[in-house]
Amino acid sequence: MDIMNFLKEQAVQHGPSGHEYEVAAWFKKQFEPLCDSVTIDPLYNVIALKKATRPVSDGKRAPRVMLAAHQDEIALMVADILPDGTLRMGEVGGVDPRILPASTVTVHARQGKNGYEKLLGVVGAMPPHLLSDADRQNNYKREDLFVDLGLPAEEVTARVHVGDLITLNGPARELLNGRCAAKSMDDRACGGALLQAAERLQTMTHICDVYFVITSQEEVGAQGATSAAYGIDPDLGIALDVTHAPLPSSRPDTTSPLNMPALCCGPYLQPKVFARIRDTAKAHSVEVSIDTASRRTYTDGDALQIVRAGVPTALISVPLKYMHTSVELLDTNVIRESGRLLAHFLSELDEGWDNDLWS
Amino acid sequence: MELKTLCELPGISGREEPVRMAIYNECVEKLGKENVTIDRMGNVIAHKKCADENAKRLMIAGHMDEVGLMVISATEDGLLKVCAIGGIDSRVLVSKRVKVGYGENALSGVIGAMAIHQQTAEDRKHVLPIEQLYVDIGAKDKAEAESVAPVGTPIIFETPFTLFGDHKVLARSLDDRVGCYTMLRLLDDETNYDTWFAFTCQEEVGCRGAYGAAFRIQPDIGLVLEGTASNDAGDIPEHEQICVLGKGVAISFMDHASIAQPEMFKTMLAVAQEAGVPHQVKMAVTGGNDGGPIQRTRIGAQTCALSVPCRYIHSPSTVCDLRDLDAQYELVKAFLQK
Amino acid sequence: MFELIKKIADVYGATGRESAVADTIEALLKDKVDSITRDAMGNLICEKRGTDPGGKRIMLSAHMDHIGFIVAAVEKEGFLRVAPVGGIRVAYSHTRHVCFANGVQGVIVQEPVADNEKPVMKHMFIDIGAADAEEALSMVQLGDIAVYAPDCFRLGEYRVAAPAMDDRIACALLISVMQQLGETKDTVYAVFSTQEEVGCRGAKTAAYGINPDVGIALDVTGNGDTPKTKLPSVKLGDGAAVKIMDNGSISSPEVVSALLAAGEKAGVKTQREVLPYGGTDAMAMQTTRSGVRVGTVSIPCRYVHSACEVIDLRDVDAAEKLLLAYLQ
Repeated sequence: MDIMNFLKEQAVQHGPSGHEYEVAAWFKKQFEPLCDSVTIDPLYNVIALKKATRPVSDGKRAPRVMLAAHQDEIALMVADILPDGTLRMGEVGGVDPRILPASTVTVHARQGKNGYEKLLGVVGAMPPHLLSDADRQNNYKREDLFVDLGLPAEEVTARVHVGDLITLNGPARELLNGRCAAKSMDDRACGGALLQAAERLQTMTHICDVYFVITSQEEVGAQGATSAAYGIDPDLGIALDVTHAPLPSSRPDTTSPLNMPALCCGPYLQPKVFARIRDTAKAHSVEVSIDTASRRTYTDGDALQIVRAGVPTALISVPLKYMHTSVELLDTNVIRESGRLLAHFLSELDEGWDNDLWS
Repeated sequence: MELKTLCELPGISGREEPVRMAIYNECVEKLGKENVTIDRMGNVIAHKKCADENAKRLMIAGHMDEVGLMVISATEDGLLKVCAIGGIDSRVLVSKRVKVGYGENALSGVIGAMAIHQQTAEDRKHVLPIEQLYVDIGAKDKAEAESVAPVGTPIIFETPFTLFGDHKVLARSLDDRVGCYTMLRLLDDETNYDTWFAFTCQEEVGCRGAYGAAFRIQPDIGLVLEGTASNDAGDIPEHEQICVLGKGVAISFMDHASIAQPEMFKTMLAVAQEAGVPHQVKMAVTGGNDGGPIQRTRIGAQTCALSVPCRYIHSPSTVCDLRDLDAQYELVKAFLQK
Repeated sequence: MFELIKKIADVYGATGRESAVADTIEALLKDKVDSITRDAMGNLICEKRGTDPGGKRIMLSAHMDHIGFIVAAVEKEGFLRVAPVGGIRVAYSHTRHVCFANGVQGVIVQEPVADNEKPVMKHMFIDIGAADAEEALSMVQLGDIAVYAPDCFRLGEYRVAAPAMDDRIACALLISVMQQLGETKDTVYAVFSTQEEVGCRGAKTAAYGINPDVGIALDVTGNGDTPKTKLPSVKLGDGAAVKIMDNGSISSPEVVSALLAAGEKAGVKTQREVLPYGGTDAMAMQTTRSGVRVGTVSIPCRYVHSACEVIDLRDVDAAEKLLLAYLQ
C-alpha cells in the first residue's frame, strides 16, 4: 500500500459522522484482501477480522484485540433554506467557524428532483465593507455565514432539503519531506496505519484474533466504538487517533512532535499495556514520544475502556497540524511506523500478557 | 486493616496498585481466594454469599483511588511539570510537600512559588494555575529529573495520618479510604443478601471502574460508601452546610450522577432510625459517584449513597469525624441484616 | 385528544418520581398490550407481540418525567431551598405556582440579587406557607421534588399549553398509537421512560433489557417561528418533525427515510428537523449493546422547559398517523 496514494484517495471519500456509508464501503474494500472477514454493522462500523495464525495452548481461546481508528469527518448540514436560496448551516462534529469564510464545500443533495447530486457551494458572509469597525474585530459565527450555490431560490428548494449534508473540500497535497495535507486526515490516516499493520501481519504470526475496526461517530461521542466493542467483547483495546503537533503559538506540554507516533499514558490507559507497547517500540527501533492525558483522551479509547466488564486500553496518536480544518498536515512516515509498531506488538503478544496486569 | 495503614497507601486514579494489593490480600484472608478477584479494570471484587439462594444481589462499592498529580514533563532546570489527576483546586497546592513515585524509591518534593517579596500587587490577586506550578525534587537538570521521575510518574500529597481535636482525623486520602475501610469491616458481618464488595478504581476521573464492576456483578441493589464534601466550618448558613461532621452518616437523595430511587432513600432512612444509627440527610445536590454507573448498567439497579462528611475534600488535608465513620459501618451492617 | 393530553399532563411526575404517571398509563393500556412490566429505573415497558416470529423488535420511547425543584434544605423560617432536577430555567421560574407529590402547594420566588449578579438557583426559595422549619418538615421532606403546578388549557383552535407538555404530549401520543395499533409483523415495545431530563437515564436500562433492532424516541423539539428564533427551522402546525440530528444523536439515515416515507403514505405533513442543541432517548438507545438504528419523531413545541409549553394538535395528529403507518 502506498501511503501517499491512500491519503489522496481518502480525501475524496465522504463520511460525516452518522453518515459514513460511502467511506465505509471504501474502507471495506481496502481490508478485504488482508482479512478473513469484513462486515459493516448498523452504525457503519467497518469490522475486519484477521484470525489468529498461531495456536494457543489447549483449553484456551485466542485473545481478542480490537484496534480502533475512526472514519467519520467533521462536516456541516443544511439547517434552513433562506428565502433567497442560500443555506444556513448546522454542524456535525466540531467545525471551527473561522475556517469557513470563502471555503468551497460540497452539498450532498440526496432527495431533490435530480436524485443524488453533489453541488458546489461557496461559504459567504456579509462583506467587510458593510461591517462596523467593532464587528470586524470579531470572527464570523456560524450563524452569520451561509452557503451560496449560485442557483435561483426555486432551484435550490427543488433540489436541496433541510438535513442534507455539506462536506468540506480538501483534496490532498503532497508537501516536502514526505508530508501531506488534506481534509479528514483525522482520523482516516490512522485507518491507514491499521492497513499497514494488517499488511505486515500477512507475513507474521499472532496468537490473537485481531479486529481492525474503522469506527463511526467518534466526532460526536464515540457511538461507533461503543457499539462495535460491545459486539466484539475484546480482551484488549488499542485506539489510534490524531493529536496536536507543535505550532509557533502552541502552549507548552500540549503537543507531540510531528515526526513520530505518540504513546499516551494516564488514568484511562492501562499502565502495563502502555509499557509493553513502549518496550516493543524500543526493541524494534520505532521512535516514539510519550504523551499524557490527565482524564479523558477524547478518542475512541475512552469508550472502549468501559464497555461491558471493562477493557484494558492503550492509545497511539499520530501528531498532525491544523486539526479540524481542511488542510490537516502530517508526516507519512508516522503512519508507516505506527503500522510497524502495531504489527510487532500483535505478533509478540503472548499468552501470559494479562498475568498481573494490575499488581 | 487499620484506617491509618489504608490511608497512607498511595493510589492515584489509574495507579491504585499498592491499595489494590493490600485490599486484595485482606479480602483473600477473610473470604478465601476463590471469592476474590481483580477484574480487567483493576477493581477488587469480593463475594460473600448468604444462606438464601434467592437473595437479592447487593453491590457495595467504595473507591480505592485518590486525587493526586502526575508528571507531564521536566524543565531544563530539572523541575517537574504536573497535571492534576481528579478534581484539585490549584489554590491548595502551593507550599505543600509531595511524594513522587511509590514505594521505597519514592522521592520527596515540594511545590514552591515565587516569594511574596518578589510578587507585584497584581500577582498576588491571581490564582496560580497548575500550568505555572512545579514540583521541585532537587534535580540538577532535565536529564536527571527525567531519569528519576519519567513522564507518567504518580505523585501524592505527603500528609501524615493524624488524630486531633474531638474524634477528628486529618489525612490525605480519606475520600474514599473511609468507604474501603467500612467495607473491609463489613466482610466479617452476617448478610441476608448475595453480597458483592466492589473496591473500585478510577472513580475520581469519571467513575471508570464502576462500569465494569457493575456489568460483571449485575446487582439488584447498589450501596455506594463515600466520603462527601462538607461545608460546615466557619460562618456558613445552616442550609448551605451540605452535611455536618459528627452528626452521623450522610444519606443522599440525589447527586449529579444519580437520583436515589425514592423507595431506596426511604428504606435507608428507616433502617437508620430503627437501628438508632446517627444519620443526616445530605442537604445539597453536589458531586457524583459510582452510583451513576451502578444504577444504569445493563437493566439497572436501585442505588443510594451513604457518606462520611469530609471537610477540605480533594486537598492535601482532609478532615473527617471517626464517629461518622462508625455510623456508616453501623448503618450498612443493619441493612445487611434486614 | 385534548382530554387525553390533559389527563396525562395533569398527573404529578417529577424526574425520578414518575410512578403516578406510570400508574395512569398502565390503566389505559393494560387491555391493549400483551405484557406490562417496570424495571429498577421505574420505566413502564408495554410489549405488543408481532405475528412474525422473525420480525423486528421496535422500541418507541416517550418520557414521563417532568423537570422540577428538589428540596435540599429548609431554613429556620420555613422556606425551602432547592436544587434543579433537569434543565430548569431560573428566569422562567420566579413567582411560579408549584406543587409536590403529596398535594402540598407552593410558590417559588427569587430573593433580591445585586444588579450585576445573575440570578441562579441558590437565589430561589419555595414558600409553602409554613411558619418555621418544623412545620415545613411536617409538610415536605428533604428530597421531595416540586414541579410547576398542572395548568393545561387550549390556546385558539389547535393549540394547547401545559407545564409538562415535555414530554407528556408524547406519552399521550404513544398511548393513542398503542390503543389503535392492530396486528403488526414486528414486536412493538412502547416504553414510557424515566429520568430523560437528567440524561436519558431510564431509556438506557430499558433499551438494554429490550435489546431492540430499531429505536424511535417521541419527544418535543424547539421551534423557529416565534420572534428572534431561527433554528430549528420547524414551525407549529406544519406537521410532525422527523429529526435528522441534534446534539445527542444523529438519526440513522435508514430510519429517517422510513419515517418520511410513512408520513407520505399516511398523507400527513412532515418537516425535517436539525436541532443545534438537545438530545432525546434516541441517544441512549443508539449505543445499547451492539448498536441500534434510531430516529426521533418530534412534536414542535414553543417555550420548552417553561410552565406553559405550547404545542399544536395538528402536529400530534400527523405524528399519530405517521407512526401507525410506520408500524403497519
